[in-house]
Amino acid sequence: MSTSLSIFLTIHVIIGVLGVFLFGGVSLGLLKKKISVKMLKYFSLGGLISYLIAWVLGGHYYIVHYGSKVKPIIKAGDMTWAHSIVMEAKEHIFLFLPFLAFVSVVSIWTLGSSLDEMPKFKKAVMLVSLSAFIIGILIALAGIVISGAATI
Amino acid sequence: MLEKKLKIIASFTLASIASILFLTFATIYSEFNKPFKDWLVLTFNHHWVGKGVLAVVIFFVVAILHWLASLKMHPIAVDTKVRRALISLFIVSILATLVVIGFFILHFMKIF
Amino acid sequence: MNLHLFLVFAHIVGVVLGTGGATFAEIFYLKAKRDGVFEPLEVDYLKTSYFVLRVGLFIIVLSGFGLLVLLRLNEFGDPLLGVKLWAKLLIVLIIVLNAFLIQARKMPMWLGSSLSLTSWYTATILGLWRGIPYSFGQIIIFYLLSVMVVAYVLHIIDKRILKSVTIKK
Repeated sequence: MSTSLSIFLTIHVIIGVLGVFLFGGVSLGLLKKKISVKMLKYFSLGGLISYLIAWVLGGHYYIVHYGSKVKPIIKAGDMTWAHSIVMEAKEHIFLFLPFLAFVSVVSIWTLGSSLDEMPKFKKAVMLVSLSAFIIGILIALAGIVISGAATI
Repeated sequence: MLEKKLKIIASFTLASIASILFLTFATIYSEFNKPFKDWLVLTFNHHWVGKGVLAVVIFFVVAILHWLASLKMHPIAVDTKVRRALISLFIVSILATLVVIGFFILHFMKIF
Repeated sequence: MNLHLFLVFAHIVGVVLGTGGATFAEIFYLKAKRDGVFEPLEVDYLKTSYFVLRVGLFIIVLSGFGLLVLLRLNEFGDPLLGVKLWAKLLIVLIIVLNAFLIQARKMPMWLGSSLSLTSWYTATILGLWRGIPYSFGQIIIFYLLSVMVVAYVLHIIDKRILKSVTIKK
């Protein structure tokens, strides 16, 4: 793997995990009776930007390197399911995240502190942020499995 | 003012639902329809890039169309409807995730 | 200091903050509960402990994934699929889920406190233990039993504190 690809992969993982963490923070923050609007705004925006960067860098790695160099190794080993199930699912489910993150950001930035006066609505925004968080966790765990299968 | 904000949120929420549903459909369909997958590769260089690009296009098209339509509409209880749309987005995203994972498991086991 | 050493150091700092934060959160919670009234200063101490705990978790997760990336780049995949890592990952997920349920007031504190403390200490022990001779299932069973034991111990401590406050009154 070239140095640039190693850097891309590293940033993809770290910034992706950061995005997951930020949306975890957003979901938790939206559970509070009185929200911290500033924190929610910056966490959600940071989470969206993190997911977008992870998308671009991960996508580049996937197109340029994974298909030709990593996939054959996994398919030749004992864990073919790591590609056929885990990677296939991961690469498609990942595409849901930017949309979920975007809706969360738009909701928080447009409504801000008004969310405190609309508790049921706040809960609905929390659920969307939560799905960005939960799916992000699944993606991160899938990444560990695939990396393990590629290097075992 | 609040109604305007809720309409923006509604447009993006419905657009996200459309994109996620498209992605789920395209993911499964492309495994059974080689010409579709080949078209994605031919047009976008890679099937995954194609699905992503089309999902983004659908997102903006649906968002703009919905927002334009909603300018003429003054629905009552707007926040209830938008809240339901957000909850639907949550449900759709989780279900779509399970469908994609389930599909690839069954596809690997050669059941589908 | 090379990158690996830096990440290990960061990971340990995260563990210290997280496990320490969880420990002090529990101590402050028990102390605050004594008279049944949560004074503003007591609430402030609790909030600070939870904040430190979350900072610890953040550092652990980021440095942990940094270490995993290093393993990947050095083509050393065995630990990525190992029992120890996946047990730790599950326990971290339980810590996060517990935090959500406590915030949403869907988790009774007797269980939430025990889950938090046991999870942090189990993850710490797993991290320190070289060559764990147990399977994933065995580790999780032991962990769940520990949660129950810790819940019971905390209950005893709570009753003793309440008894000593009642006697003083």
